[in-house]
Amino acid sequence: MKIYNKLDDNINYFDTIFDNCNDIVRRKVPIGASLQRFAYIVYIDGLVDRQLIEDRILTQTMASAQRLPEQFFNEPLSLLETLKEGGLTTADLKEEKDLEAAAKAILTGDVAVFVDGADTAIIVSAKGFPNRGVNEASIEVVVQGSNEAFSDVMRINTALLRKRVRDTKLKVKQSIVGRRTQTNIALCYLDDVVRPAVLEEVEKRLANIDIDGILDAGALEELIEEDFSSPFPQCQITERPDKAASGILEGRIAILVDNSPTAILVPCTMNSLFQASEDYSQGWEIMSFVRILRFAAAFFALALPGLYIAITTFHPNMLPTVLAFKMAAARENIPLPAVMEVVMMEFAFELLREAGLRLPRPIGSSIGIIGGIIVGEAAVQAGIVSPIVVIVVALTGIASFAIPNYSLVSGFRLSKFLIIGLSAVLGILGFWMALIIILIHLASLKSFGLPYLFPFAAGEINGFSDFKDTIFRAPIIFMKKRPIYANPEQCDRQVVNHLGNWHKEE
Amino acid sequence: MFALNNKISLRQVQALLFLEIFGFGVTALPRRTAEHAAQDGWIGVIIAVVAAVLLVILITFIIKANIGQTFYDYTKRLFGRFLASFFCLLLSARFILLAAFYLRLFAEITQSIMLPTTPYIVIFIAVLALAAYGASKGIEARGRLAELLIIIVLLPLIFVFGISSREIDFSNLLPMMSASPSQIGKAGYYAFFSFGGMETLLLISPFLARKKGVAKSAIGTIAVMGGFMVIITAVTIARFGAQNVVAHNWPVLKMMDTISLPGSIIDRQGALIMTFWIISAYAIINAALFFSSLLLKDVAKKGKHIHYILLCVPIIAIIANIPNNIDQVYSWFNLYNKTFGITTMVGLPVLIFIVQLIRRGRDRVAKQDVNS
Repeated sequence: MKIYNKLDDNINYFDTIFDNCNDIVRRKVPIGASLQRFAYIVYIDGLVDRQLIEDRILTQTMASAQRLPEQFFNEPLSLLETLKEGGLTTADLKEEKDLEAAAKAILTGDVAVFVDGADTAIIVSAKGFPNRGVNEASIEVVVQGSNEAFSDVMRINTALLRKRVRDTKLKVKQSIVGRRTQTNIALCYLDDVVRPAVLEEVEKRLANIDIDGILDAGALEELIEEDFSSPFPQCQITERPDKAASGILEGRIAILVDNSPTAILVPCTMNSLFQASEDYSQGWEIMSFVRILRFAAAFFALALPGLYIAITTFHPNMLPTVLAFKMAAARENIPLPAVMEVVMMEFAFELLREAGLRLPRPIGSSIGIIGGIIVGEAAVQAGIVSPIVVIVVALTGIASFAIPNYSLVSGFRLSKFLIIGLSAVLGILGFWMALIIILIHLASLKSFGLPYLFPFAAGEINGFSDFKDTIFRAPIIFMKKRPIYANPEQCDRQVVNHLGNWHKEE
Repeated sequence: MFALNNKISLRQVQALLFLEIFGFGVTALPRRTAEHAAQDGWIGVIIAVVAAVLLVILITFIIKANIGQTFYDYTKRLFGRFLASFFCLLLSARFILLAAFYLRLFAEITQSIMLPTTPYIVIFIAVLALAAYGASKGIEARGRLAELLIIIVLLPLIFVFGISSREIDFSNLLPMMSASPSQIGKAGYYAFFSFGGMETLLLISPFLARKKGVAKSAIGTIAVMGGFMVIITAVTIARFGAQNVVAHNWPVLKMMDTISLPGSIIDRQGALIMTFWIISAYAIINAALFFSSLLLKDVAKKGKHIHYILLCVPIIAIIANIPNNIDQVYSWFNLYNKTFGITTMVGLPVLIFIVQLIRRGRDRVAKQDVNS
């Protein structure tokens, strides 16, 4: 719909669409020396920078209109031109001829200025959202390295990325998703490093979304995943700008969603979900050790309760005699079968974990520890569960916290119950069957065409060079090539001119 | 974008081949050969390996001549529609029977080692459901999974056999060549059946990402696997002696179970055995389901792959349930191998190979006539 020439028609339009919207400021102001003409300014209170409106728009509009020679004053387009060229002293403004587009701009925090008699509006970018600024990372905490986290405002987030990757090839391609929320989505990538086919696929999937609203990155993640029924994440969510920047350097695409303090990195592999930012901030020896710990932790988080059930229920003879006796003694007088013990304690542990998240932070962390101790101790005292089950469940829980990606942990948490169930029915056979089911599922998963288990499976796609950053983290100097995500023409990451021993050449 | 859709790499072909053949093939191999050639059983395995390598050379010739084509497509071109359908059904029946035999064997072993009170049918349903799930995920997932599973199978095996080397008495292999050539030949003949599953290569053609190196990879895999089989047979006979090997149904499993691991927290290596055992069972039954359903779909030219997988599942379960005991399973399987098994495993590839050669010669002559 085109903007009307008559200002009153435009006013009527906005009065209609913004009826009962008390947060929307609509003001008709007389301008010029004789105050014969009017301008109409519309913006949303709270979404704009009021100071900027007062100083750069209202004051300047009136002043510049007064400076306009009398003979031009009756020509609306000249008046508009004057306002644009010299009146509004702000760099970020554009003309708009469509009324609906002007309304959308207002909803995103811009200011629309209409002039009597002109069929064009000036849209001034004066966004001034309330936001929490740049906070500290609270989920992906590191011992060494930056502690900045993404903010709720997309523009701050793009700035955090630009701050880290100062390359003209870093592109920030914006689009809007959500019929009603009109959420801004930004694809951030290195133009020459990203694989064009992956970028095309991401854009295709985003364009395919037709939903009323996207309120968080997590919702968008589910909509662009290959297999939405999988409990395992096929996109990597991160709250850390350094992690996102590192992903961009590898050739991945960081998707930023307005109002969401996280970025989505695509494509992703299970291996990438085991990598943390600080893996590259500390020595390769210790980080390789930590990586081994993480993979072992993943196995414990997934399999330990099931293995315990299988062995105690079906195959106690597998254990050394002394250990078998100890376990039998611990289970003496326990009225429940091992599977019930484990399920009950797992349920209690999951409850504590969930309660810990919902409670205020100082109480939340203590309820996890104290609750665990009290519930476990009480259950053992009451003779409902054996102490070994408490150890198994606690170890499973601790192991799950050692995995750096929360979404991946969720996948393991759910899969654990499949192993528990099958182990309870078929012992070690059931245990292995459940593990193979999970492996089949993981082997069938892909993230934007990339096998999820890469490089453990299909590693040859990239000449096995990605193995250098898996269970072991090779010294950075040996990682000369970019990972699989990068465009093959841009696979070189570094040129190594010198391999240590600097003093020898001096 | 990254992976080739519905295609697998040569490395994945190797892993699949290894898993499909090795696990079940090796468990009874020392007994099979020792029964006929006593301590010279391992020489019989060498003969079997040579025969298997020759057969795989022949099969890869067929694959290379028909790259990208399904088994049905190229047999139709060579023999016509009717015979092509017949061969598909024949091969499909072989895979179904093979799966049924291994399923029953697996259930027998699982029941005797792990789950004495669990009925066969529960084990049948569980394993078939697992294999069907894997088959339904397609060739790419099968290939990727095989790359992982091969490590899980091989590591404990190498570990156990490495440990067992301390307890080996090589004098059990002496005197060498005490068996007659015909006995060694017979041992080789029976050992050759341990390579059952190799014929899946006939169907792999449409899934190959690249043609180059197929023969080298397949021959290499069979040769390396054959090497493992020779070593395992020799080590098992050396450890227990030929007479004791014959007395055990599954001497390789027995060997795994009786080795004392230094400082181990597990007394019996039941977990290791089950790892090896279930992955082997999964691999062969999964392959049988995948390929038999693929062949049936090609013949019927209707429906989806998953429908035929689901059709094969109850058939395999019913056949697996027929024998009364383990002895009957073995005697039927021996009969099957000597008749239907050898026909489909060797006869069919040889026949296709010969017709392919004749066709090739004819085409060449026709081309020369046109040029002249």
